[in-house]
Amino acid sequence: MFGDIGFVLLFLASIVSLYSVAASLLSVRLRHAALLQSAKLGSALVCGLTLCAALLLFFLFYEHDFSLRYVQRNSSTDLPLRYLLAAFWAALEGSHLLWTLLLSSVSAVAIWTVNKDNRPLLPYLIAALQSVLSWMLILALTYSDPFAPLFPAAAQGVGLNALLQNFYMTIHPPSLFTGYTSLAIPFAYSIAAMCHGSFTPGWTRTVRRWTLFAWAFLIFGITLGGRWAYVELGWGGYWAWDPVENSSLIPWLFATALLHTLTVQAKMGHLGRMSLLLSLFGFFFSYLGTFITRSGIISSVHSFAQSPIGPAYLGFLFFLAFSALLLYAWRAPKLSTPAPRNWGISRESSLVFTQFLLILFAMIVSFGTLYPILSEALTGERFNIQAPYFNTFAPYIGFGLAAGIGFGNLLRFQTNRPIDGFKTLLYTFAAALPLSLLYGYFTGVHHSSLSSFLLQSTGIVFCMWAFTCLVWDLHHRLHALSYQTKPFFRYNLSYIGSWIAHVGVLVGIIGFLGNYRGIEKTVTLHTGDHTTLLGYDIQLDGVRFKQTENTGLYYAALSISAPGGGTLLAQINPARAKYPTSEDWFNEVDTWSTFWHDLYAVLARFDADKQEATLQLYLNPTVRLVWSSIALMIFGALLCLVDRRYRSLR
Amino acid sequence: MIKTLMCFFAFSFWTHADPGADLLKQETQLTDDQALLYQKISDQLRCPTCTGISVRQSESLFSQQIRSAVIDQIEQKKAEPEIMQFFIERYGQWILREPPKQGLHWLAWLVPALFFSLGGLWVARFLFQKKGSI
Repeated sequence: MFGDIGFVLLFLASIVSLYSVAASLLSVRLRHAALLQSAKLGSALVCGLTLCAALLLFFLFYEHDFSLRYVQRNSSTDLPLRYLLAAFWAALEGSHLLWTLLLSSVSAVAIWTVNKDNRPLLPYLIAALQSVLSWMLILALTYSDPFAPLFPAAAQGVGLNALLQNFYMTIHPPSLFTGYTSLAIPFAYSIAAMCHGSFTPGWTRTVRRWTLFAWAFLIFGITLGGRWAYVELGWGGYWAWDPVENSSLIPWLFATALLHTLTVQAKMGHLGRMSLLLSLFGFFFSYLGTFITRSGIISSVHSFAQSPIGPAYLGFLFFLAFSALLLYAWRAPKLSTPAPRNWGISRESSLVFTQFLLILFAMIVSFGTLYPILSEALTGERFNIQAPYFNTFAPYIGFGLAAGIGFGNLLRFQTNRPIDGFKTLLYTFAAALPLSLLYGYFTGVHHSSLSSFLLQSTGIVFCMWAFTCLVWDLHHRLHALSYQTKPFFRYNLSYIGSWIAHVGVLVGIIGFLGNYRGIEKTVTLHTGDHTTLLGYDIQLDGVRFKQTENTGLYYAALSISAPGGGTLLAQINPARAKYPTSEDWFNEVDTWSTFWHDLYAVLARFDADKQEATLQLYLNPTVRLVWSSIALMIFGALLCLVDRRYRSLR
Repeated sequence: MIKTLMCFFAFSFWTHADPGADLLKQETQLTDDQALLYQKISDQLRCPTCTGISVRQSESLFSQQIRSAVIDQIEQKKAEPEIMQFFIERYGQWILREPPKQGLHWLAWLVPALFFSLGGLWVARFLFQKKGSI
């Protein structure tokens, strides 16, 4: 019965959504204000109805209503509450509903907060957003129905996949999907600007804020995914260039490029059409990624069971690409742009260079991800590209971005000399060298080949140099205000926000370089035995058993001490878990992190009777730097969002 | 081909009650140089039953079989290209983690290079065109 209510709610929402599309477009034709207002109300109603349907599904999970196929397949009565609620998005139908819910919410917010500068765009905004929403709601009624009944109703559920019973399951999908759906707003504003025929005065400011918002949530969601893979999957890394990981990275790369195009557009009016294209691509690729997983066309750790939803998604993607590009080809040339100019070497040129690198990287990652399809079409053999391919290109993109950050911050708009002259380059480089040596000393250089060592040294010097350029630029600006920090911070929040975010990017590049070195060791120990890794002394204290809420865990109690058996530094317990609802054993990895590296332990095999454990020990350098970099980037984005200059005028 | 592999797999499972322990013993008996070569090669072969990881990163039975075979090849004093060819002959090019630089797979390496060079030229032309004023 409740399932039927849910279905009806979604059905009503789809009708209202279709109405809103029609009403908003008609309101332009007939110049009818009340029609537009009804479309606006319709958007709010769609959001409300979808929210009710989602709350209903949460309720049905809570009540263990196994008469619903989705609830029965993804939960069981012994599931702890937090996983019971997170099971909402455990599989295709629920995660589609989550996406629809978030899209309807951000659309409603965007539509109702349109400021008066952007008013002429409102009808097209509603039409664009509600078209996508109505399609998603129709999918939720047909191929992706979370309220489909199970007859006869079962007494017990199948349970939640053990890999998903993890804290990160509660936050990774919602934050990532918030990022994806928020990219719909720049997309809708781009469609609206093209339909309207010009950029409205408030266009750049609004699109910039929404892009920043999407950007922050995307990088947060991506990092949570990486952290989850790190602690759950047990292969010692956090980024495997898996197809779904890549398809979350690509929209983020486009969003980053878009942020920089908007900067130039706000400052000088140029690159407006580039902003349009990047918004369209970012939105398109967020759906392409989803299509890849849900259709099963490319296998990945994220693949849901193969479903007939594939062709529906493919059809949507073709339609979206075709109509958006057609609209662009027809309307974009009519958008007024400033007169062509000589860009030369200047701040805005470094921004263009940065955009080029980001888009290049997005193209390479897409190409590598979609290569299996291409190779199958051309050779008949499906070839899946894995991490080594992407890791070949990634460092050079990183170095290029560091160079862009460095040069960009030393240059000014519309001038082709670095601030304080060319000697600045010399000073900053001179300051970078001791910093690099200091870094090298603290982080240590582990086993690596000469080429890897050279690669990393170059990268570190580049990033340190970019950092000194950032510091120099900050000093230069503070100096211009005679170091009055209070007014500086009050009126330059967005500059400080982007400064911190750029430092975050550099820290991230340095952290990611740690993937190119690192040591590992597989060893079998009996209770009381020691082993060493990079000077740390690791002792097995015992193989023990622990029962938690719904699993039995066998764990190896390890003590990590300073070299030579000195002071006890940490105790970690890598474990293997057995869930009653599954035949398989799962790894529960444990790590000890210092700022400079992680000691990561996996319990590969154990014998509790013989008190013997086979451990895989990894020393992963600079992992913590990667997590810190994301925190810096998000903090920087928040500061920018809070800056009064970027808040809309009502 | 698949059937042969499955038979090989089943047979070795039967003859080695605990293949993990045997592999561990083999790994500890390698010299330092051999260990480095072993790591390098097992990094380049994909785990056939997993998603996205190499035989070195995986603890699945199939990966352990392959790693054991790598060690056998290394102990026969074969060089890296020979060993890689040994595995390509038995599993197909699919066993590699990145496209080999031969045949049609050159495309995988050419296309990014093309993106970079053509894109770079286009950006350079855009930035340094001599029309208009600052």
